[in-house]
Amino acid sequence: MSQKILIADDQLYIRVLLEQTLEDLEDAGAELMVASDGLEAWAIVQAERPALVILDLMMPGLSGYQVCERIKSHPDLVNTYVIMLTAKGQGIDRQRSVKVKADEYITKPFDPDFLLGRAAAALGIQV
Amino acid sequence: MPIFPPNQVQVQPSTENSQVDRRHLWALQALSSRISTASDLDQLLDELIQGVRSIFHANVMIFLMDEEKETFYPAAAGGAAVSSERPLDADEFRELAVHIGEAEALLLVHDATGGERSGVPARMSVPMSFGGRLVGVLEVENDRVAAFEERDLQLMITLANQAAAAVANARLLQEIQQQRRALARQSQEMAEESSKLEAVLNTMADGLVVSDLDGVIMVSNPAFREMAGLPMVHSSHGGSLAESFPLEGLESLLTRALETPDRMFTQDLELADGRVFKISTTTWRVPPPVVEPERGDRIAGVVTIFRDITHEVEVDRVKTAFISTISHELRSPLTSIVGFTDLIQRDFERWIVPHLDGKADQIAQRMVENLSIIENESRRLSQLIGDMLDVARIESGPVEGAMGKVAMGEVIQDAVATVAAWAREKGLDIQVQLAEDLPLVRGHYDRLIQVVAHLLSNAIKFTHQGEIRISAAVVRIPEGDGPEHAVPELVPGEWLTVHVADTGVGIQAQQVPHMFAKFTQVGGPLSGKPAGTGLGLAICKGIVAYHGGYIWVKSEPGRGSTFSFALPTGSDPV
Repeated sequence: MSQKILIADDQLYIRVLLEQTLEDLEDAGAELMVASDGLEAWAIVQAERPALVILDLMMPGLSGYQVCERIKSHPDLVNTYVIMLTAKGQGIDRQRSVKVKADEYITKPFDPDFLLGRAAAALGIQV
Repeated sequence: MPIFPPNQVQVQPSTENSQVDRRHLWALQALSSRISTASDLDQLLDELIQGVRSIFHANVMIFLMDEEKETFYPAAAGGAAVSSERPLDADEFRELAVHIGEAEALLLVHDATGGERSGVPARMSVPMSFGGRLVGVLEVENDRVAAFEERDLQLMITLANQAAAAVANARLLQEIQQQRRALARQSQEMAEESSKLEAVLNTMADGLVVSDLDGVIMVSNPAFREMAGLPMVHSSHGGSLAESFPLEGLESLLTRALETPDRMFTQDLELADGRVFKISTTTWRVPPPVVEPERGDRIAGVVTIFRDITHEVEVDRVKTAFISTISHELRSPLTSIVGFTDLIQRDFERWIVPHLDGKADQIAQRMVENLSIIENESRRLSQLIGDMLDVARIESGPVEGAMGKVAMGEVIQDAVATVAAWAREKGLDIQVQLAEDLPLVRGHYDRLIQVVAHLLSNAIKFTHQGEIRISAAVVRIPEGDGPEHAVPELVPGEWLTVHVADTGVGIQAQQVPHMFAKFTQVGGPLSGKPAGTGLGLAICKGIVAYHGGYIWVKSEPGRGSTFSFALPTGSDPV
């Protein structure tokens, strides 16, 4: 079964950027899914059980923190790898990410190659 | 020089009732009634002089004892130009006083024309004693030789004793009146002082409570009573402070104040209704009883100040949310720009360039270079936005997260880890030297990493060969040291110092004073030097400043620079 990756961001361009960034993983057999708000993200997580979720912080419906908190407090989903996209230097964002048990946080603007490397490592894929 | 010429008589005081004739009795009675109506000492002396004159028809002088100086001073005189023609000689009187005082002798001089007081043929000097204490000397003089007889002297003794009693009483009365006036003045001053204090208490916006050792309210001001919803009259006296105002944590703050006298403790406490108060407590002392000053003053309770900061807390929250939103909104488009530029570059190089040749290949290379310029400049813009938000945050004080106990060794290790890759890339070695047993400092972990990482980044940026050394140690600067002590940048106290030394290009002397100003860059933005925002060191200075510390730099152009900062360890100055 192919590994699934969920990208959740309310901004179209960021979604496209993330999709293109992770294209190489798609080539390696992973399946990319996108959500444009927090509620949609949570629905897809429950239905599709992705192995990796990349969450933006500020989204309508549910914030990235709330989605992460739901994932990490759900016994079947707790092993989902969650990367939070935070603003640089915002210590409070990082503290909150730690509090909701996110596996990793990457600051915006991010280096696409770096993000690709981290995502690949999370899934155990060589790129 | 003998005081008593041979022609004088000394008589020892006698307690037996002397035989006084009717003239004397009458004179005594008259004098008694005169002096009984005198209202003060001056009038009394005046009456005494007049009375004694009318008895002896002679010049009269009264000398009173100045107890402090143990001398006599001429207090009153009456008669034919006594005081002006024969001014009293101080030495003469000291001798007389000593003699009379020691022997309590009475002196009758029949003929003193040959003595040192020339022109005074007859004189009687009689001590005025009351209750066994010498009050003064009563003296009469007559220009007739042998004008006085033994019985005159007896009368003088009676007169002098009566005068002594009257003077003593008048003095006592005078003293009582003086004390009464002083007391009245003092209580007036106290009333004025207390009305000033009351005006301050009544008009101050902060709530104030003075409580005793058991936490019972002794004084509270209207602002406090309004905060606590207590009746505006002074009825809150006698109640427990902690019960009057159910702020969680208030009681422990009061206890802490009493456990550590004379120190102020401040804490923000929240009431169940959402109001937030900044509470400051400190002990107050009462002076020892006037009669037992050796007991010293004692702690009598706690003074507590309440400041309603509900509004400030709300503003702070809104500000944090605003900064957070702005930073998110600004970063999103930048994330797209940086990310897409990078992707275009990658795809272009991977998929397009291999298929090009000749002119097209040349143009493609230029396009790749131009794309990397866009990417670099976007990153710089992103950095600038981040830095400006940092400046805004720092200038409005620390908002996010509470300060905690921070181990500087960990901060340094973490900061070194963030720049290690870059240093390796440039072939620079980073040496870390941490003193043993570094104390924890009160601080903001992330912010301190930001400072150390920035100083390290700067060092790497401006160093092309050699090494970077970062060290941390404790410096104690004793109280009372002049400005020429080991670290002139620091005031007395205990400091944790961090030094970041490089072997880089260094800083020109004239630029050193501007290093920590906003938008300052070595060489200026167009000099082709390594690019930055010019805000980094200003941010470092801001962060160090709100930790209560100092930051400074020493540099030798061409040899390298050492950036240093110091944070208070919280220990009292040695």
